[in-house]
Amino acid sequence: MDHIQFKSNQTAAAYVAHELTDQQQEAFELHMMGCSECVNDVEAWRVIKHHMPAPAVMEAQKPFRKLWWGGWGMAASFAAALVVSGVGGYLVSALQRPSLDSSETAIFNMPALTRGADECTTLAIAANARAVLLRVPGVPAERRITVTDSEGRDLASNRYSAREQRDGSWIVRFDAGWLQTDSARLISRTPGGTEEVLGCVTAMVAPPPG
Amino acid sequence: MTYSESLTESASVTPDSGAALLAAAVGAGTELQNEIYVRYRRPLMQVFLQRRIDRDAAEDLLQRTFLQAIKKIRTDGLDDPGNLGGYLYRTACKLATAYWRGELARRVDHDGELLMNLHDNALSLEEALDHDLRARCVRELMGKLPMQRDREVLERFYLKEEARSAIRESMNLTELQFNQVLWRARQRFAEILRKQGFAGSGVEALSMDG
Repeated sequence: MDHIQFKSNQTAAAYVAHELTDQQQEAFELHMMGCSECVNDVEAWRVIKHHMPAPAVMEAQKPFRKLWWGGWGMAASFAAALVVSGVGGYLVSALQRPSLDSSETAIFNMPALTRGADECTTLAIAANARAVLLRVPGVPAERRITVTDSEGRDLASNRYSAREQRDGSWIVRFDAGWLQTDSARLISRTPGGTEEVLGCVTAMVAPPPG
Repeated sequence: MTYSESLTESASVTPDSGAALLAAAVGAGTELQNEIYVRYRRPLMQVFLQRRIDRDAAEDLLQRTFLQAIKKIRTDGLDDPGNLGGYLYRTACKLATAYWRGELARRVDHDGELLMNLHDNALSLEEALDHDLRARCVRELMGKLPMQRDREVLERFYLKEEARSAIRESMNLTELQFNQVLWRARQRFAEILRKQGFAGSGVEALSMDG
């Protein structure tokens, strides 16, 4: 493939998005060795990828445009909406208590892996705990956390959820009932499939301290 | 040296110029070693970054790549002197693989005599712009995209890392339309970078292609 084809196919953009096959990637990288224009493109796309703002950030940054009638009516409407929604929210919450309150959530930092990947740490939880949250710091940006059960099978998505926080740490949420019956092995994976075992946890109901 | 000057200096390398560089480098002038370094470091850096190697480790691997190359050139020469870029590329790929296999010590004690005189004049875009400015440029890009569709494509492609085929299918885009979105984004980003004073941001080349 020549330079014109790489350009017309937006290969640099696809390269940064890891969309190329191994052969395509090799061909493009060899081409890049002699093509500063394609290197420029790749660098630009990598900057765009790394600094792509979340949609919420973009919304928050939209400049406020003053309305022609001064905006007081809008302010009054907003205040009224706040009052209505506040009262409504209180009444609704009174009728339908949240499905999970803080006393039903057990929160832990990921225990350090000291004795080997197969060693499981038992997390002590309250009898009424319904969810276990694990904070996992220090996961490299390119990696994602997945969880397997004690037999190494990928855990079903309804058993846990994992999300990355803005500080780079991950929050992994487990169903507390399930975690008492099985163990969860946390694994960080690169898109290329390289895996690193971060540790293993299970849970057990324990009496209050003291 | 400015960023744009550095880009001009590291303009496209033909195999012939690589061979000439190599022939001259056998004479071991540090200026020529430096020229090889300046010409190839940016594409090689992308090769490492593409393999999910963080920038610090990539810098280390970059040094190893050039160190191996210079030693090889001095001792055995290259089988195909016209393919210096290809040789550096293969070396970099092998080192990247060795890095992920854990076969390399975290830090190598470089041959100071060889590397001390290698000066880096060709800054990449990430090196030339600080973090905040890069982030601002990308936010500006997202704000300037004319259609919501364009923003959605970029967010899904780079932020959520969805596959191109899935994005195209759900948004009813042809391959050509998808590439046009990328092309428009790249062109606008080049314009934004040019306003920041980076004439070598690729906008001219894009205009010619378009």
